[in-house]
Amino acid sequence: MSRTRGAALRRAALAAVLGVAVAPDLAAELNATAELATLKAEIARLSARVAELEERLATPADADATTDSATTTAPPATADAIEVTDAAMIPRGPRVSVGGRVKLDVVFSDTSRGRGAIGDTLLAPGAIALDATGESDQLDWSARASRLWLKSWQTTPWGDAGAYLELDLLGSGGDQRVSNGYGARLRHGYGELGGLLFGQTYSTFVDVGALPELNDDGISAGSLNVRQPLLRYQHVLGAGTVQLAFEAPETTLTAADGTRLSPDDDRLPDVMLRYQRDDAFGQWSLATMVRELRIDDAAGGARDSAVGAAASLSGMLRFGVRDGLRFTAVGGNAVGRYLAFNAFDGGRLDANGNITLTPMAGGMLSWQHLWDEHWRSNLTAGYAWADDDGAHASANASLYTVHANLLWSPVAHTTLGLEWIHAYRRLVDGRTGSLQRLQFSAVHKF
Amino acid sequence: MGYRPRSSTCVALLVLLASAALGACRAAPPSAVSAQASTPLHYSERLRGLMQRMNALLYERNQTELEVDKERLERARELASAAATLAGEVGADGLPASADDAARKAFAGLAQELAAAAAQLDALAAARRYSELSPQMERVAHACATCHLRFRDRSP
Repeated sequence: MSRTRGAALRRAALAAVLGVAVAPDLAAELNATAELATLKAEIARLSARVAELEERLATPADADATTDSATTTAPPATADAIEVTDAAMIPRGPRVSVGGRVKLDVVFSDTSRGRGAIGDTLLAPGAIALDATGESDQLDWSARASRLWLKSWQTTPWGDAGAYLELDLLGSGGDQRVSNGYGARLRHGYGELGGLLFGQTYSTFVDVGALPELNDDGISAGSLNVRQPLLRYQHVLGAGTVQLAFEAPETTLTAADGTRLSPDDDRLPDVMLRYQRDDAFGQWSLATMVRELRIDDAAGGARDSAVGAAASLSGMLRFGVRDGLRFTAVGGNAVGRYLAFNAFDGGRLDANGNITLTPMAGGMLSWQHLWDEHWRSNLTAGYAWADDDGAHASANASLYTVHANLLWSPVAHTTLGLEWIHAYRRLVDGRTGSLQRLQFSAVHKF
Repeated sequence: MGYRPRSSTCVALLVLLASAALGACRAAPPSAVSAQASTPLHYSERLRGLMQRMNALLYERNQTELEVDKERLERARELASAAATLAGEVGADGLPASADDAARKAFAGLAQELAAAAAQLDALAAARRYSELSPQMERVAHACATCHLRFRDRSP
């Protein structure tokens, strides 16, 4: 029975990926998605009801009048609840579901790097236009940050097994003249078995829980954000978890003439070790990374390698039920591409073909306040710095960003928000660039 | 474009935010500060916090849906544990000595209802029955609210 059902679900997953119409199976998956949607809506309703009851409790004079009505609207008694103590109640076959989000971004910037620049849609603080070189005043409309995901999970003797595939539309191609069609791009594609994860997702050096809630799908200057292929093992240690990962390496260097090099000559994986805890006051995480930067350019004669390290402390602290502070602090001589969308290269290549690692540091603070169950705000500031000793004149030396938003979620799956963004960068030679941006976004998750 | 902010401006911003955070810590209401780790008030606040975190998962933008599922289950189990502990704490000696037998019996019954609802929620979470978590959470919340309406604001 379970084998038959499992096979049917696998066929459904395949049909969904290939776009083949297998109506009955697809309908079953849509039902599963609908169940999840119902679940989310009910959680929101539950929170609202608790708040309402708490409010009524604050007025003792009404207590007598409300007690009876509360009793009559009680949910089914526990005697009627489903018994789930039997281990056989746990689903055995794979459960597959499809979902995603639709997102509209309307972005007004006071400067732009020019036609088709992705920085007009999302913020890349290390690449904003320099003063006196950028185009002025640009309005950009886009639905490219919409996403589609497919997930599957099941229980096994080795622990839970899952798979996840997520795409967005921030790939290449497309223009705004007629159809606004853009290529899909892989965000995540990974499998899990017990504590083992393999595939592409956020780097272990990135604390996803510390990323701020922004309209902008870009990045705060002091944030870490890299997705890449990796192999990771996670183990529970005391009250926390330890993760050890080997991840795809990629060297980025600034050549003596100032151009960026990605030599693709790496031979060792980036190695990450992370410890994470979730305490009553919030969650925090300490991560370290060791990696090799290497170039082997037979034609140019540059052959060198260097090993560096980096560390980060990040997390989210909660202050009551309405406030929270997300934070990230990172530093080291091998941070490189992991910080602020590769605003700084990991090292410099001198005229003799030798690599010098670039020390750098960054920090981000993001305060979130819930005004009520529908409205919330986030104020986020980030800063990043790289040692400019010996750096090329056109390299970034420092940058900062500020994001401030007001978000409204009238129903559980829909959020509308307005965000003000300011970004600034300074080059080694003293030139600067600054950006003011206003971004409206509407998101609906399904 | 004549604006030329310097690094010190950024540092000042970060310091300002850090100060705001510390200020919020100091400004915590006396009731929250004085709540001891083992008091019913502590568990009641913890339940509210956990429900808020469950609600926040609806708006999550960065985690993958698989990660959100895991966190949802984890929070449900935490919520079940906190509710069960609260039921045990208040059920043993939750009413003042002046309460009559009828009140004590009703109070104990509500505490048992809360414990049963919490156990059911934990079992559903352990079985990964996502669609049944929310109705069961509502039963936990209902058990809390019924007791609050009948007893909490009437205590001397």
